[in-house]
Amino acid sequence: MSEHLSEEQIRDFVIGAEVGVPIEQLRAHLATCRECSARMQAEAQLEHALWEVRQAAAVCPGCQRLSIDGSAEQRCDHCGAVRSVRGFAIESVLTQTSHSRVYRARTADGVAVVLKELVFAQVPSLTVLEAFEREAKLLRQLDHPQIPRLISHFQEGEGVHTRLYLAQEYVAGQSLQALLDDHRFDEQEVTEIARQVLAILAYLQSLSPPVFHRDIKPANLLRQPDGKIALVDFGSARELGATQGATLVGTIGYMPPEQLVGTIDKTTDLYALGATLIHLLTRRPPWQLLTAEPQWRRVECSRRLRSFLERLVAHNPGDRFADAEATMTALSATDLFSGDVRPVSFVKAAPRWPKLKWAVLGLAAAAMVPLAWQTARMVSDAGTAVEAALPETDGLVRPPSGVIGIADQKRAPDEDSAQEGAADDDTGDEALAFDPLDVAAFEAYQAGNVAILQGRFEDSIREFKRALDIDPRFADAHRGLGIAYAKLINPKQAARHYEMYVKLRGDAVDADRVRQIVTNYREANQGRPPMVARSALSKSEILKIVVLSRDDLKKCRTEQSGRDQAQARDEIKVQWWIRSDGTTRDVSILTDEFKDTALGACVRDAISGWRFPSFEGEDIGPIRFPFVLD
Amino acid sequence: MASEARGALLRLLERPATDAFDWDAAIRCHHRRLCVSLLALGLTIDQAEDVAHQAWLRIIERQRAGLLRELRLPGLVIVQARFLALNLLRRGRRDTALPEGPGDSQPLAVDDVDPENRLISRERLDSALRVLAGCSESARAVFQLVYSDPPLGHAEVAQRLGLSVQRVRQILCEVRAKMRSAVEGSP
Repeated sequence: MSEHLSEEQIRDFVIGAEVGVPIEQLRAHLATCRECSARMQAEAQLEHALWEVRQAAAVCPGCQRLSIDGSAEQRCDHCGAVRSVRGFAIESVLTQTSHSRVYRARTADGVAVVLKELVFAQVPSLTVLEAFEREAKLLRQLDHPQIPRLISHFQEGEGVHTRLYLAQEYVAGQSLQALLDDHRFDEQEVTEIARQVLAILAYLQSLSPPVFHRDIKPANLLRQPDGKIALVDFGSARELGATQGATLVGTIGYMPPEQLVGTIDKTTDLYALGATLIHLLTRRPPWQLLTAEPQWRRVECSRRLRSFLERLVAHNPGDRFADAEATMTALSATDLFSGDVRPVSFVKAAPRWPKLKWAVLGLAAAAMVPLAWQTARMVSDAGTAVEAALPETDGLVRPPSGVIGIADQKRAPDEDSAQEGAADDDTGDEALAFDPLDVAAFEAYQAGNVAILQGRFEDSIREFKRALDIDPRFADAHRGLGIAYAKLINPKQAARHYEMYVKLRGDAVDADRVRQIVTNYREANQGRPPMVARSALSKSEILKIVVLSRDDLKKCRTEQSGRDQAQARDEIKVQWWIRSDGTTRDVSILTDEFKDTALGACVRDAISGWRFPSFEGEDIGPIRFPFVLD
Repeated sequence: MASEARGALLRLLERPATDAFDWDAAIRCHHRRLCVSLLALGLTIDQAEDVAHQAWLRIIERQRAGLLRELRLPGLVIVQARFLALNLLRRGRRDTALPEGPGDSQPLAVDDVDPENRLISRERLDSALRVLAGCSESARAVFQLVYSDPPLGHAEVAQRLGLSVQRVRQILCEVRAKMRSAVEGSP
């Protein structure tokens, strides 16, 4: 070791990094060298000070920023989240809206709690304060294992700085709303949820006076790790019998019609439960389905479950089950799972995704068309019999049916969610309501398309299958698989997937054509003569390739512009033949002034390299085409 | 003396405990920080080690005797250790009329009851916080994790932030350089 330690060695020793010399040797040196010891102490002072800074710079539980204001202010100056209040140490912000925050916090004893904070933009009225007290009183009387227990409630600050707090037992788990993001509920799960929620509702309705939650929805139902469902957010709850004229609370879509005019009774929460179950089954917010002509009836589920749901969400309260107890009895008697269990439920026949979505996605698909044409040329080289029988794809995978030309589809009207404390808005903007699973499925589908266009058919099959794993009823993914298998000369699989496509999308514009293809494949599989290659190229097919390949000629114009600029703006007429293998022959320049020019030679060479789809029969020609290169 | 306290601590830890508290883990986690805080007071490295062991010893004995209502680490052990250290330094001054460590050492004086010193400490802290606020997002993230409670090793910080260990150290050194002027009171 040198006479003294370097700055880096001292610093690394203090911060606990690798020093580069044996630690005992370093310690021995520090014990004897006053100078190095003093430097090390100075470095330690800085390190100690940094710990103090770190302690003073608390991390905001809301925005996770280091707060530069230590103990004086208990609220983050960036997002406004509180750090600690009345002995509750805030750990994180669970949800927040403009008028409330829900924190995860701990008591001084280390017990995890949920702390609901109500904030106000103006001085809260006496009515608001009374309502808060009433909610606290109501919560205090509840004693059910699937309802979080109230721990305490209190007020902080005054006037416009008033903050009202409710501390409740923390329930670990995920809301059903959150689960919808990456989980598809089957009938069995939905029925189990119904059973558990009904048990909670039966308890609430058995109280005197009965308690109505008034805001049952997926966001307020938490699935705990043990599978138990907990009902949370009693901010809308009332402990009255049937009442009229109350303030409108609840969430549009989950509220029965009579709740809109403030009328609630024992069937109110049952209707909301029914709407919730339908949402879970269909993955669509109920306001889209519980319309005058209820679309949800097309949901693919057992008849018994459908009947049960029909009674839950009956328009007329008199047609619903009388109360939660009666509903539980009916549910038990129905014995939904003695028979068929549907693993996944979707709305039948109705377009799986809103058309506007497809319009957006269609733009992406349309952008792929030029690439598709290139591929058309590429794949046509194979010239297989199977390829010839493709449903006029020309090697192009079409965007999902109905994409092109619907960009002017009307948006669904926006509908504000009226939920209280809603950090989980189910707004009804259809154009933006992309289901993450739908998007994931589309992404896989799109990747499949790209793979097809690039001739990576095995990859495309894998991607289309991935799309189908996410959404087994994704018709266009079946169509893509049909094409991919056809390219791989697997008519059996191709037919199977085309068949599925037609089955799922019987009303598609190309359905008849695909049906014909399926028939062709079936016949081929049964030993009938296989599909024959195209007998010749049509004029439009030739035109497509020419138009798409014109850029090659423009390059000639650019390259030769220095020499032949004067002529380049003129028309240049070219003649050629197409051989049955798709290659060109005898390309000649017919316009005299270009015959012996560099530009003419370039054009001739370019066209000689073009490839058209192969066909059976005589060479096609002569083809004469007037190109204008400007 | 250092080995005496260390030996006593080891013997204590070897004794079967009635509680399930993992003292080994606690010491592994906080010992470096404890020693740093003692070095910052002006103790030599041997003194710091010795005082740290004594502090752990006392805390563990009190905890096992059921004398501690709550156990907040590392705060409790640091307070205990600094109390022992200040006693040691006072004894040293009495004996030699000079601090035992380097004479020009000026710790941040968090234990100082002199209002003026407290004010200076507070101002330095505020200044350091302002410097921190001016650091980049990644610098603050590294700082936040390296000095988290419990502290994270540089490798773990690197893993969490998706950086290389080398980069974490580089950022840390940059932050330290910026903070140095603030906490040492230079303009």
